[in-house]
Amino acid sequence: MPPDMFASGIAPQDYWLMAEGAWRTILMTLSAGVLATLLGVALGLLKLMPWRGLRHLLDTVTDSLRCVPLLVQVTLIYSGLAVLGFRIGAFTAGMVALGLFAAGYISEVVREAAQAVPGNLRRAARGLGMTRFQEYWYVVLPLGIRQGFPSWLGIILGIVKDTSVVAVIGYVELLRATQNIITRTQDPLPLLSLAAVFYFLICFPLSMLGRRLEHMMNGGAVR
Amino acid sequence: MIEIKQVRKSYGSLEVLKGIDLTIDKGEVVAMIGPSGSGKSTLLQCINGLETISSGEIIVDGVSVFDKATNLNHLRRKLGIVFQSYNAFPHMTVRRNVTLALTKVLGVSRDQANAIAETQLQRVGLLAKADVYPTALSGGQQQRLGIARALAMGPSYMLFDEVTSALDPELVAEVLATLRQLSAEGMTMILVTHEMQFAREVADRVVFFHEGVIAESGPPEQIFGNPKSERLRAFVSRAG
Repeated sequence: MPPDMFASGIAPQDYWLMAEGAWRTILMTLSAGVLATLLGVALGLLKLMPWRGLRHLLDTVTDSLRCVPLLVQVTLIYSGLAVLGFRIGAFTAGMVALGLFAAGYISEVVREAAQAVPGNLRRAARGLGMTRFQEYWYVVLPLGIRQGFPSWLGIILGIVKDTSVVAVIGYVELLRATQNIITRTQDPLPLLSLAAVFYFLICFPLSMLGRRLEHMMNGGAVR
Repeated sequence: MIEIKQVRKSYGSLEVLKGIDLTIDKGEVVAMIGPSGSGKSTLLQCINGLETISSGEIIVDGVSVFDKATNLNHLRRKLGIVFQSYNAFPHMTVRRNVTLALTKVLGVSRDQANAIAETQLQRVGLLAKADVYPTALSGGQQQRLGIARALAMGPSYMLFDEVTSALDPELVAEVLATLRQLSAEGMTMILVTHEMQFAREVADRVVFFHEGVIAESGPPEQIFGNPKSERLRAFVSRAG
């Protein structure tokens, strides 16, 4: 009888360990995603303000966030802060690092989405006597969200996968949990396949939900 | 009354308005004609402060548009504007396009705004389309929506910036019919237009722009029938 590829020393509790890892991946994605979105929207809006100095400063900050590898950022935030005497947990460090990293991208999405709203529409809003705030609230925001939503979702899906980087500081998310088991069984293929299924199960519903929302937003209001 | 006094405007080193003087009385229909780039659209958008000026003054009913103390958002309620690009808000129904500024700018109640919207949509023949989105409208219909949206605010003056230029020829007539009706109702209108026949028909006064100055102005019979300058003669014969 040929050796069964699934009879390779995977114990029942290993599946449980992986499910736990998957849950931590979800938690990390949610926390970092919320942080990145709030921060990214704020940064993006600030970049749209007519203050050149501020814009250059923020561009430099977000460019740095986007240019330094995430692995380096995670380690720097975790160990760097520890060296300075601030002990924060792996979860907090990971959330902050991932959140900052993604916020840099989201701020660009926000800026581009707002700039994609036709200037003529904004002019029309002002021509009706709307204030600048009303112009943004009733015209730029709703149209900008439609414009930027797909890119934003792409960044959130990116966070799901980037959570694996946080493993370097000891946060046992899905991939780290999987690797822990692999060290014991010495048989990566079935376990990595299973991990891939878990990642898919996390991303796919998000992606479907996104497509649903996109469709709803564009219902009747396609441009 | 709108008083335009010695208005100049430059984009960098390019001067597009070189000292414009023009007064428009209540109830008047003034058509601004002239070649592209002559400054007429720019001047129109200066009247409600959507464009700024470099020097000079524009006064609407005694209020100086570019005075720092002037509340422009407030002043713009008096000055309805319709643009060449239709500018319907694509994420709102036709009705909401009209009621948005009524409720948010004028503070009118939802019910009252709806009633006003229906009256204005009826006026431009779009009441049947009140609950569709602008993408379902033709260019001519979108332009009439733009007119209804501006009229709903109860303006004292209407500014029309080449409102038929982006339309297919067969759709121009329906928009002109709406404008004709407005002029018959006594609305004060300033029209930047390339429709010479129309300008001749509805305007009380025609102003010919050339390279940033008013080269000639007068009643339509004089401008079209007996142009004084060679430039205007050439322009009128070309524009037919």
